[in-house]
Amino acid sequence: MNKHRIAAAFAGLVTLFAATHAGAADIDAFKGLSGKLDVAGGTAHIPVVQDVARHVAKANPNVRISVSGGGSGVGIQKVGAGLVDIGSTGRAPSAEEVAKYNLKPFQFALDGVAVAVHPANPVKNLSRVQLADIFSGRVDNWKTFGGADQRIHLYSRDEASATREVFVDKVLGKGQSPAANATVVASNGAIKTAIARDKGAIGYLGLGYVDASVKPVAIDGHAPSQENAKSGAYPIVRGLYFNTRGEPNALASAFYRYLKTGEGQSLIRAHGYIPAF
Amino acid sequence: MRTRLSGALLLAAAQVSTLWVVLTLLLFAWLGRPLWQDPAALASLAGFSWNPAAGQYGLGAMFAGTLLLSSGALALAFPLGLLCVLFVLALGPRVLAQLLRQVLTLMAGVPTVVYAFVAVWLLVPWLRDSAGVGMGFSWLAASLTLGLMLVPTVALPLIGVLAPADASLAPVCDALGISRAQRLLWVTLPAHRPLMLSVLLVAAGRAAGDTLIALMLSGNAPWLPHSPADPLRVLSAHIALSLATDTESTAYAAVYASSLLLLAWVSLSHLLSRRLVR
Repeated sequence: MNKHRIAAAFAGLVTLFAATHAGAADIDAFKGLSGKLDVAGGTAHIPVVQDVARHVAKANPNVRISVSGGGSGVGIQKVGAGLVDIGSTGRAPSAEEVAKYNLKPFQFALDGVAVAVHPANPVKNLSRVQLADIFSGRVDNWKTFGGADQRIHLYSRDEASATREVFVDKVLGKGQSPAANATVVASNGAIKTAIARDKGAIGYLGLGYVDASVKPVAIDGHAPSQENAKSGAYPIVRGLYFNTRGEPNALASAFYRYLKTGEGQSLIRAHGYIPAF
Repeated sequence: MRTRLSGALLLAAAQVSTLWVVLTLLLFAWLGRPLWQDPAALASLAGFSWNPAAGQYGLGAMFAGTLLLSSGALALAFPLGLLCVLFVLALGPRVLAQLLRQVLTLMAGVPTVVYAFVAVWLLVPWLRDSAGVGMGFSWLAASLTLGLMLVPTVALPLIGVLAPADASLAPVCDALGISRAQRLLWVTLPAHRPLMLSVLLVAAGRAAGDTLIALMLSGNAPWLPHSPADPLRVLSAHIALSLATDTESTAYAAVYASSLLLLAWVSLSHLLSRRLVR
């Protein structure tokens, strides 16, 4: 009797498990496919691609997705030379590049960078010129911008950071770097913690990381919201792209389809990016 | 026979270790190729400006940072460590001395990340808000934490060697009417100068190599600090920060130059110490 009950419960569990997994899952975009999909290029894309690769490896072991960095330029070169299937770039490929390699760009996300200060700081809005003054070290007191008489404490990121790259390109200009005496922290999370605990702080971090512990400032009057980033009103934004040479092959198409699903979009959001669909 | 065998084994172990260091040096030199092949980047290595976006790969500030942070930490750790030795072996009441020894042993087992983490939450805000020392993340914050971490590194080996030596001198010194503290300060310690020097160098090696305390507390600004309240960047933290950069870039190749520099510095100080000890 008892044995039967356990067996019945076990069967029930198995059915339940099968039922929850048999429904049309988002990962089914890769169903029936096999082979290898190589992605190389922009470093910002890596965590998203790695997540997809992990999910695919579980659902369909016949498909293997590999990803490597190198930067956007390398991504274009490698896909152009046919060394990889997809070249990822943190910018739209230029008209020359598209013509030279017959590239088909696919924008999957927006990467917005917020500038944040301590919640007690009264400063609400800064222009891009003011930001350049602050981060180059030309202005070093919050008084100048209507804040308290308090030294500005700069928090920045290391060169490996794509967040830093976007921020520097859009605010200070290419090839520049923030003031040398800025404190450098190693991650978006660390910069948020540092800003949250320092009354004089200002720093930049991925939009997805902003929460109530820090205060994002508007730039040129535009609040750093997902809507403003999407509409283009907020200035420190860039597109994240995947590029194929010619039309995407079956695996690349499946990869794109998966990114567009609910699960794919939540992976994109999990890394602080805004899905561009 | 047995001594000859163990002697040969020890010699072999020493040679393998030396070979290992040499191989590491060669590997770094090989992996850093992109840098050696780019004359402009190579020339910028000796400078003080680190801005890969503009083709400047100066490691001068980081090397100076390593020296500054190490000396700051040792300036705290060595005297404090000696005081601990003095307390444990000569001045302290038996119970307290025993307690301090236990505490030192416990401290030696605490991972550096724990020191760094506690300092980030307690020392840095205190320096910034109460003491008014800049941003908190600074040469000073990292030196204090690293110095505290190194106290057992200085004190424990000294206590271990000096305790029996000191005890063996006790009857003679007692007969001469020399007190415990005098015995330690004027007889035992001077007789062990080479030991003190090697302890100092072991601590210096750890100070130069430690990464997490520097990474989490020094502020990592690649420049020459003007005061202890300013941030600085050390070679080990620089390596940790650069490891995430794109592996094809010259900035990544500079990691190997940093590693070579760090290894060269540690090896040089060890060679110097052996000269001095002789």
